[in-house]
Amino acid sequence: MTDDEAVARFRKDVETCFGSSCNFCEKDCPVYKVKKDKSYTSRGKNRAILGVLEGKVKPSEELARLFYTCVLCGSCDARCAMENNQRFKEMRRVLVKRGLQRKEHRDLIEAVKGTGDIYGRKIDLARRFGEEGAAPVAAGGGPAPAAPATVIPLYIGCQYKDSAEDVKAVIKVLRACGIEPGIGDEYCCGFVADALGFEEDFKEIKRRNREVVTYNDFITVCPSCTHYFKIEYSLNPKHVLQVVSENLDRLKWKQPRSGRRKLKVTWHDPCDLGRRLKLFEEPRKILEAMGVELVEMRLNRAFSVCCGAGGGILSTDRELAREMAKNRMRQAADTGAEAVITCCPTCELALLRGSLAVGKERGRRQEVLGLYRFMADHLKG
Amino acid sequence: MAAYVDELRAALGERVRTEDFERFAYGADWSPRTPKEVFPPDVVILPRETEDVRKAVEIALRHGVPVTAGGGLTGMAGGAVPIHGGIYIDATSMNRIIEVDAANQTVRAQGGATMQEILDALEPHGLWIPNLPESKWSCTVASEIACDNDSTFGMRWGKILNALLSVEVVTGRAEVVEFGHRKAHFSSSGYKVKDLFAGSEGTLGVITAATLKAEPVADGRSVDMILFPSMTRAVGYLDRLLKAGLAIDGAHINCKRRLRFYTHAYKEKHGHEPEVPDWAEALLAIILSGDRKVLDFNKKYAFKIASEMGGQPVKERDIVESWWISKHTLAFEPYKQKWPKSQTDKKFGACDPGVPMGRLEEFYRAFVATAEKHQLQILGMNAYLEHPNSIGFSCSCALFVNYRDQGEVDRFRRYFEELSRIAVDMGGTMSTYMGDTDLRVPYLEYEHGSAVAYFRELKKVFDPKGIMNPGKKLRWEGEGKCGAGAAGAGSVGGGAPAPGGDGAAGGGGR
Ligand SMILES: Cc1cc2nc3c(=O)[nH]c(=O)nc-3n(C[C@H](O)[C@H](O)[C@H](O)COP(=O)(O)OP(=O)(O)OC[C@H]3O[C@@H](n4cnc5c(N)ncnc54)[C@H](O)[C@@H]3O)c2cc1C
Ligand code: SF4
Ligand code: SF4
Repeated sequence: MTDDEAVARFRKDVETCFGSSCNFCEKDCPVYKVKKDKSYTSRGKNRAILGVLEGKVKPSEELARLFYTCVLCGSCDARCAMENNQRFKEMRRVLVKRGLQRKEHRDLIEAVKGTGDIYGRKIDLARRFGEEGAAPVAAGGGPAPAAPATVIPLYIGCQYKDSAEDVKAVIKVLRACGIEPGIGDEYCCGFVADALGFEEDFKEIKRRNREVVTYNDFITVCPSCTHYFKIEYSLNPKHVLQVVSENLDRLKWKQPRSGRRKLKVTWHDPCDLGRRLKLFEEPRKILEAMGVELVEMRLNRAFSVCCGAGGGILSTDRELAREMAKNRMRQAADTGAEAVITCCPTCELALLRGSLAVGKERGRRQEVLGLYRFMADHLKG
Repeated sequence: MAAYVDELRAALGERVRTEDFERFAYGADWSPRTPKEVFPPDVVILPRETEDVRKAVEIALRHGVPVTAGGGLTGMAGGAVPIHGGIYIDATSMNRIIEVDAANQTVRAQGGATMQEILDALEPHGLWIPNLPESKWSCTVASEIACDNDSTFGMRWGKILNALLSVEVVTGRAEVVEFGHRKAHFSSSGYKVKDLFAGSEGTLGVITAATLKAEPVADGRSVDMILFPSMTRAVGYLDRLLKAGLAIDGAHINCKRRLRFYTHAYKEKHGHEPEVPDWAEALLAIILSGDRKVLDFNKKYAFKIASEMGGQPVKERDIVESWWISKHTLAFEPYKQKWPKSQTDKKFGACDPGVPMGRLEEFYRAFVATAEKHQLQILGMNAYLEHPNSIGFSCSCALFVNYRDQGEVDRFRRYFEELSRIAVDMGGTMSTYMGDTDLRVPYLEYEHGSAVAYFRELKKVFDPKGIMNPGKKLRWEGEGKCGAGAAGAGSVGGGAPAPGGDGAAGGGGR
């Protein structure tokens, strides 16, 4: 298919948006909230595509900037009845094919292909976490000869590889659920190549991934990897939080000492975990079982707002990302919760930065906590 | 790059947009039009403060450049489409809530605040604004005023003028003027110039802030539907309720076909259309509110009178709920919002006349006949009652329009004109919530006769150079297409109407 044909496929949907024009997606678009410019909303981008189809808008670096100034959060899809995000991603592919990619994106993709890691690192996971007592996984996914039979492969993902504390926490929690996680070599799932529009590179990364990650049923830690393995690879990943919520009756949590009040927390739904994997209730069930007081932000579950760091925005507009994180943290602050809990490495970092700024504004800083560590700290025994 | 764009940049910095895709996003609203009929402005500005708007209008005035202000761009007749190019002021970038005075039950907001943003600000104070269109998530307070929208709760609280206490405007003279009576709920002092802005369509100035009277949120609300064998019977029933002393928040008389447009949520849930008995030709939706006890009594009383007058309440709550989601709560299930789904092949296109009390049924028949004459698919009629505590109709006469087909869009415009004229012939008015835009310019005299000359003089007081949303309401008397090619790329639209042309005759300026 030529890229002109690819754009032509969008005609029906972008015309439907033109015909509907309801603008209901603008309200909660995190980019719009900061920029206040209608061309950046889902409707604005649909109009831009219509403009290309009508020959009124030229593909240009500026147009590419528009499509990269989107966190692909899916909020507009939840407010609509069309798959706008998929279209925006495909539009990025068209722009890349026309040579309108950004240099920093190309460099990133090359690093992924070269090392199998989003940050271009080479980490021997089996060795590193083997020392924590995790069982090794053999090629093919089964336990290595020395490991117990109950071993289930655990795919850590690039973003968590370096966060030993999180991985240790996950191992601890899984063991409490009666599961022995196995750790072996990994290769990036390639979500970044797909999100940035590098279609051919994504195919290549997928191929290489399957040479290393040969199992089909496994446990995942990162929401984005989980989403990609499930949708793009058609595998059976199970996110840690699914495992935990299924095993809640096995787990005993430390409760606040009598007379002490419960910790008041709010849950931030990561876009991939929530809108894409529909894991809305699992984390809430876990938090409730842990005995904390859970309060909701005004926008939650399918209508949750992105932390501001998705869709490759960090490589395009850091200032915008910071402002979006502040907006999400303002919503969190409005709940009066002492802490915001989430379980995505990108969200955690972005919200942490946001909380510093909003803390100054409001005179009180909210903590940002990762659910894995929070669970591990509160496990009894 | 035209000199005025450089001046705008000097005055407003990076909040000036000239890329083709940035302008294209602002070239159409929700009016029936084909994708070829997008009219991008030459430059877009994103003001934050009134002073930004004033500076932009001052520059426009100096260079004789058209200025069009817009909000959510959900208007139904092209009001915010910059048909003559020039500067587009995206007022939604000015959306601060300036003050909630809970004790006085008033709220002041910048013109670009959406009605929903105002509701959110009032909620903690137990207050709300009842003058609300279905599009409250997108519609700004300035547009609400500039279009003089109809409201879901119009039977008790009327249209926006019932709430509008004061309005700040940047006039076409590039002056910032406050019209109204501050926070006083009414006044006999001065001329009631503020009222001119209701339905002004941005032709007198840019609305930059407004003070509205809010209302206390009632303890309870009931929403019901009652079936009647005819529209006349439904009207008679409402008249009887008013005589009985009931305060009715909202009343909407739908024809049977129209109901289907509101049952999206029902269909999602049940997989089929709701069933309505054959004999029922009118579905009256009725909204009441108040303290629980009062509400219960009123509802019972209203139902008693309904049964005496041949009305039958709709028992299946999902039908009523579905209508209410569409009309007010907008609590659509995620990924299943009604609007895009309902506009995939054809879109909602309406004409909005008002007719005298006794002529609703007759007008409904005229609507059906006119639509059929122009071979357009009927979506249905809804008569909203929009005058407080009295019977006054705002008729939404809606069709499904194939907006990809120029011939059908043109037929829709002929239908729009013919039905507008029929309403005038019946002693009514052409428009009750969309305004005149450029569509009705060629036949505005049909309703207003020699008053149009006075309209023109009035406009000159506010806008001596005729730069404010030119071509809307009145013919544009400017020369040439101001600002053509200002941004270097020329107009990226489908070609503006002939300069000084009369809109509709100009070929596609809507
Ligand atoms: C889903 C949906 C439901 C709707 N439901 C209703 C309904 O129930 N009732 C109803 O009446 N309408 C309804 N509409 C139509 C439309 O939403 C309203 O007319 C609304 O007022 C338009 O608001 P907007 O902010 O989108 O205005 P726009 O389309 O952007 O502008 C409308 C007019 O206001 C003028 N204007 C905007 N801002 C300013 C300003 N700052 N100063 C001066 N003039 C200005 C523009 O020039 C234009 O003439 C609906 C539309 C949609 C898409
Ligand atoms: S909600 Fe969907 S149809 Fe409506 S404006 Fe947004 S993208 Fe378009
Ligand atoms: S995906 Fe998110 S950031 Fe992108 S347009 Fe939709 S709501 Fe806005």
